Amino acid sequence: MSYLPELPAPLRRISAVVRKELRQLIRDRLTAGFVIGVPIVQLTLFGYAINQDMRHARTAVVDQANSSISRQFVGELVATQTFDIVRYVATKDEARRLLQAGEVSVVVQIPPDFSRDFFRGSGMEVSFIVDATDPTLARAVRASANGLESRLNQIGRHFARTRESLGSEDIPEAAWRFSVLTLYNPELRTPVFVVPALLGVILTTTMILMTALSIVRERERGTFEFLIGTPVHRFELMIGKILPYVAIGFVQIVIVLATGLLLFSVPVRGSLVSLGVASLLFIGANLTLGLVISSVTMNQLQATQLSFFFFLPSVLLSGFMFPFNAMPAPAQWLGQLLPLTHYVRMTRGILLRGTGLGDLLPEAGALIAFLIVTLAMATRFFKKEVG
Amino acid sequence: MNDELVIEARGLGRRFGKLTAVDGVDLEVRQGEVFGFLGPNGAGKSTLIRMLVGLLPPSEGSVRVLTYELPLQAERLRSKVGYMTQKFSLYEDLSIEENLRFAAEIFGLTRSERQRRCEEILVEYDLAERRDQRPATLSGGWKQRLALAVANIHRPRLLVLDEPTAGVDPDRRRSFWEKIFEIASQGATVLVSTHYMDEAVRCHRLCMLIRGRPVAVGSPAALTAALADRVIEIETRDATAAIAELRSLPEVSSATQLGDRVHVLLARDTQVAQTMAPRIEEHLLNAGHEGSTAQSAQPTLEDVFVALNLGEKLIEAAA
Repeated sequence: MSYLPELPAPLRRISAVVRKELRQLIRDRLTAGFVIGVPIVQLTLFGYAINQDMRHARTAVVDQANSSISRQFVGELVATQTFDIVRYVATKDEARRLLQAGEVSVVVQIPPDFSRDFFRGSGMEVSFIVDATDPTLARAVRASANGLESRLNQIGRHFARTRESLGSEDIPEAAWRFSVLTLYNPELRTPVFVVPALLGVILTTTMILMTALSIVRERERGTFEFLIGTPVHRFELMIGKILPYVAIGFVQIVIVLATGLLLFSVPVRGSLVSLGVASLLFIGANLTLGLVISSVTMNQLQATQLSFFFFLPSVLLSGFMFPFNAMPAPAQWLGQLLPLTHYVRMTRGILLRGTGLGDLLPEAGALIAFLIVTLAMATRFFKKEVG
Repeated sequence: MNDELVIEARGLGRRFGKLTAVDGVDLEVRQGEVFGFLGPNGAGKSTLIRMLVGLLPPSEGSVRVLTYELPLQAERLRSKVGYMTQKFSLYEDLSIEENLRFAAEIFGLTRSERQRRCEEILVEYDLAERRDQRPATLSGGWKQRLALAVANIHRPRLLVLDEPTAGVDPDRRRSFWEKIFEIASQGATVLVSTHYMDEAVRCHRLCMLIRGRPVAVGSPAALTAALADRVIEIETRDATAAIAELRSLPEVSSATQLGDRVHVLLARDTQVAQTMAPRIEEHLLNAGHEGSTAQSAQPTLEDVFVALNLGEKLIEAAA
């Protein structure tokens, strides 16, 4: 027994609803798993799908020179650990076919006059063809190639200087030139870029659906009729239904940030307070939207469908999937209406660039506007009445 | 204002689109009454009850419950009313005790009241040993008991029970009704809907509903008295054939099978049952229904329903 002072009746009722909600949530293993599991699984899946190919890209080599020099060059490629040479093929067309079939992700093509050019010291053209369906891979190949290029050029210059000092001037500086061609997806992103946005995507999917379902479920099971027959005011009910999920939202944020930091070294450069404020606004916006959805739907299926109707544009138009500025204008207008768009900008700013809330006021304002509109709608539609 | 009146409804009606679920209900329920709504499924009992507890705004008419004007003051009424829904509406994933405690909190009992009242109710309703059990594992009868306990947690002045015994076995129904009268004897007014005649007959007063309209209001005794001298009970072997035979008689308003008997309702302007019974018996015997007997009988609520279904007006008679 505790000796805390008795709360006023409205708070007592809100606390009753909150505790009931949490109790049910813990008992419902599926939902509880959803809360913890979704962030970890999504993050690991998304993150690793992007991250794992940073090394050991399956590579086919078209060595048309087939000389000791070209073989030494392939050795250098393997040493970078970015490339695993899995196939040697004779023609460029054959290599392209492997690329298209997905058997390899990278094709390295060494031209026939490679050795001749090397001894002449004229430019040695090596081309890399990359399947950039996974943009991170493309970026890794590009970085690795650039690194190798400058390293080989350094060695070349050193070699040339040694020759110069020996007095033989007929071999000029060797110049390596690598060209990297990215196919299928020209814009590149990294997990560091994706995780902050993924935070918003995870919150969107869980927050909207969970509030919507928690109320619609009561309606479906008939417990709503008991609830509305009690003195709990509809605002108390709305608050009591929302509060547990605010807490859950923050639990998810902690999980995502910790997983992001541990697995992908996603930095937290800005202040956690700023992130907290931004997240509170965003979670609030999603929860009130969930309330609206629960007010206009009769069963869990309808609520789920309506939620997904909102998820898809959120994922596609928020800048999570495609760079926002590259989208056509109407898509951008739509995107501006979505809370995720603004939250993604805020999390990327706060986590990656260390931006302060002051610079993110327009985004915060947009979230507040969305929150006010959905709150007004929920107030209008959320009724203590039976069908 | 009459403070004896717990419920006062005038011309209460509710439509859902084109469907009229309840129409023209005038009602006065007095303090301490066990007042019943009797009617077949779909007669509008639940809709009427939901309007009376303020869960459904009426399409027309006015209603005042415990001095609160509905639907305007519905929220203020809630803490004074205990409402037991037709379908079990407590949380299946919370234990009995957790359900009680949640209800106690939400009905605004203070912490010490809560503690005391929950213990008291667990004992009173024989639920103490099952306090950790979840409703999902309870039988229908125990669920009703729990629902009644929860509806009473805040000692409401008005207890509203929507078909509380539907689908419960007769023994349990009897003990449930004993509980209802116990609660009423402690000063609460009880409003209860049912489609069981044997339950309805126990109510202090009844409102009979057919197709959303109140067709009779009064005590069961007054309602049945309105049909005095008009009911004949017949025992016969082939009830179906006998009914066809009886219906052809001009003095017979209706003939219906009730259990293994046939009840005949005599037309209004004909002679009394005592006089008619021998004649009807003779008629049946002549028509080849050997061994048939006919006697004048006490009208039952079923007979009242038959008469009402034929469009007879009993409201004045029973008032």
